[in-house]
Amino acid sequence: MKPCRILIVLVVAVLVMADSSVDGQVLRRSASADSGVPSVNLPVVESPQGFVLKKKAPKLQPPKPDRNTRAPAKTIHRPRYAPRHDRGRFSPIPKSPATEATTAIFKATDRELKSNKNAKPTVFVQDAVILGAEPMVDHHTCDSCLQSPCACNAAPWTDSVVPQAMGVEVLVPAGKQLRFRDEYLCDGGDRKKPVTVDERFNINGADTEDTFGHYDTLDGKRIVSPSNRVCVYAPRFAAVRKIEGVFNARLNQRVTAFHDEQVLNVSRGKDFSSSTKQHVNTNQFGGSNRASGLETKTRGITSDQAVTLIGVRNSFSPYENLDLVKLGRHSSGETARLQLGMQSANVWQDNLGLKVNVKGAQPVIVNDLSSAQQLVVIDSDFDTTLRVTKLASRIAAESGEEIEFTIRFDNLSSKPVGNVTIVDNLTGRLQYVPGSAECSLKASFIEKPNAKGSLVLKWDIEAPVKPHKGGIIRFKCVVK
Amino acid sequence: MIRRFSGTNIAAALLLIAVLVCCETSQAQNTREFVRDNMVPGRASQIRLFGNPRLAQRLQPVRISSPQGSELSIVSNGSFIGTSASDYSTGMRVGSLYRFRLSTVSEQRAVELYPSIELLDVLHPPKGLENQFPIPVTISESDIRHAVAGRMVSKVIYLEDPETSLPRTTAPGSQATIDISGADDAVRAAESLGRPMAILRIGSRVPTREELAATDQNAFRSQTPETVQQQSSRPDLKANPEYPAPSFK
Repeated sequence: MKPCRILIVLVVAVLVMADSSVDGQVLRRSASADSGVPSVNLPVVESPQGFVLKKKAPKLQPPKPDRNTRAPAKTIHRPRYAPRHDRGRFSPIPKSPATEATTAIFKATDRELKSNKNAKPTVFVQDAVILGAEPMVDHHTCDSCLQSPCACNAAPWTDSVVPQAMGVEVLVPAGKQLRFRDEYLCDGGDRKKPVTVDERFNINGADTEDTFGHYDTLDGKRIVSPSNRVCVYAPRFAAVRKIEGVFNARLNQRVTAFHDEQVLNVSRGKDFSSSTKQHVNTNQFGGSNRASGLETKTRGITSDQAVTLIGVRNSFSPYENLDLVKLGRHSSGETARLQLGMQSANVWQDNLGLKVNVKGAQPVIVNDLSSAQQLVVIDSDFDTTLRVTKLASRIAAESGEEIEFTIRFDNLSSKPVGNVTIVDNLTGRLQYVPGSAECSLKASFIEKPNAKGSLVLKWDIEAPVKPHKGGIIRFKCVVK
Repeated sequence: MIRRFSGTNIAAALLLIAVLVCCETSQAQNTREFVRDNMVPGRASQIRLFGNPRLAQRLQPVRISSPQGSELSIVSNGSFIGTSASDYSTGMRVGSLYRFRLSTVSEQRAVELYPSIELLDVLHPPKGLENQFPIPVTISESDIRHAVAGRMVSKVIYLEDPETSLPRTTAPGSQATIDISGADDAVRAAESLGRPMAILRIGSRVPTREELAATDQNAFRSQTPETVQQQSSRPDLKANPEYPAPSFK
């Protein structure tokens, strides 16, 4: 090979590598998806500690320390590249796993029905899907996605694998990203670092915006179950101001330190001084950091002052007057209203999408609007599952307006679960309205400041939750 | 000679050209980094439009707020028409420079200022809520005071990143403002805090009669399209078809 050819090939190779490094995010994502390992490269946020509870778990064995972690993540789908005409310029669009999930559900249901004529299908797909469309995303809705591979132009996926929670196998529209995340105020789910609860009930990895429940099973497992993610359209604006003029030539700089000059006092007398004074100047200013803005607003209720909630109001607000909230049972006729309340702003972020519980008594349904007709399956390896559903009363809010959140939790298994705790780590832009928390079951309520200047709300359900039973939690927040 | 252009060389050259074109295209798409606050008014918006031409199709509601007692005038049929309001909502597009007049009283003196606004980005609210969430452009009394004193006030309104935004409460009608040094770039500063949405510039120079009456391009009304008044009863704002197409000089 001639030297000129070698040189050309080398130049081309360097340029190709440089271009790849520009789009390195895409490459990393693909690699992580192929290996099945979530690409978690996120800053570690200090997790609230100190939730040490001395609870009694009636009729339940103490949890075993070595089994308190969640089940290992499993890669269900390897991303496949979309046809070329559907690709973006640089980032390949992997095919949504929802289609295959749907197919798997049908197959599983059919198999079960064929093997046992008396068996009932555990999944009702018509109930399990909530249709919707993110209004501002350029894609078409496609009603035939449930029956055949979806050929509609869905929003582009990213193929990061969802952190597995609560020990269940999750198929999601993998790592679906909200396109205009900065315009929404989201709360719920388990983002960034996965939440874990140790044997002493210390909660680790609870980032702001996380909402989850954890519980103990009869066989000693401690499982974390995140809720769905609720997003409210609430953009907030600020301004950066620059004033230019003649005075701008003057450079104002703050004094950061003095020289450390020690001056002896003048000696008195010719012989020697009888005494000296040593004036020590200030050698440095104290730190003049600006306020970080993490305003701590303690409501006067600490963890020692747990308030026992004994009831919930009898009436249901329009946004939550659903069978899913009242009875823990979803009916397809309420799909549209549930969709409105759950997403509250037509979008989901990252790792949570539509969920269907296969082995439970009922399908678990959450909303997924930015990818219409996408189906996500939770195939639980455990015998018990706690479903946590979160709804918001508004789809959009301005600063100062009030939002009411409703959390419905259900034990979908045939065995009781104990030590049930629901935790909501509020984002910094949500200010909890004191005294607005309600719970339909007898529970102790604890609020504690978090790292974002808001609160961590925690409900400890006192009695074990019986099979196919659940409860409702309500609270209000003001948008900052 | 022909041997020198063998298949391998040609393929390598074509690949090299393709790579260079891709690099160039990717740079053109990300035009935000080229935007500065000291550009000629309107240029930053045009650069953003060049990077994303689809922004031209979007009419973004903008709410201009000024201190109580002042009056905003917008351009209509080539002249400034008073609105008798200190709080006014209009529809604007990325790629144009919008000039309006602010008549107010500052330090017991009646003054007229001619601020300009250019959009850098648009919002994406849920369907039907477009008019409920305009971009707020707030002119404070402090801004007016500085402008009347002969200074140039540049404000970059940005959408706060919820991940990094502070848990503060803002009084209704006011806007949180961060002052930076004159040596810093306001767009860069805003970008580090969120997504820059608009640039407001207020100076104290009063246009001459000739400049106001001139029909050709001048510093005050050259690229100023007519603003479209936002009406709550009409959800879809419509642009004036006589808008001048943004173009680079």
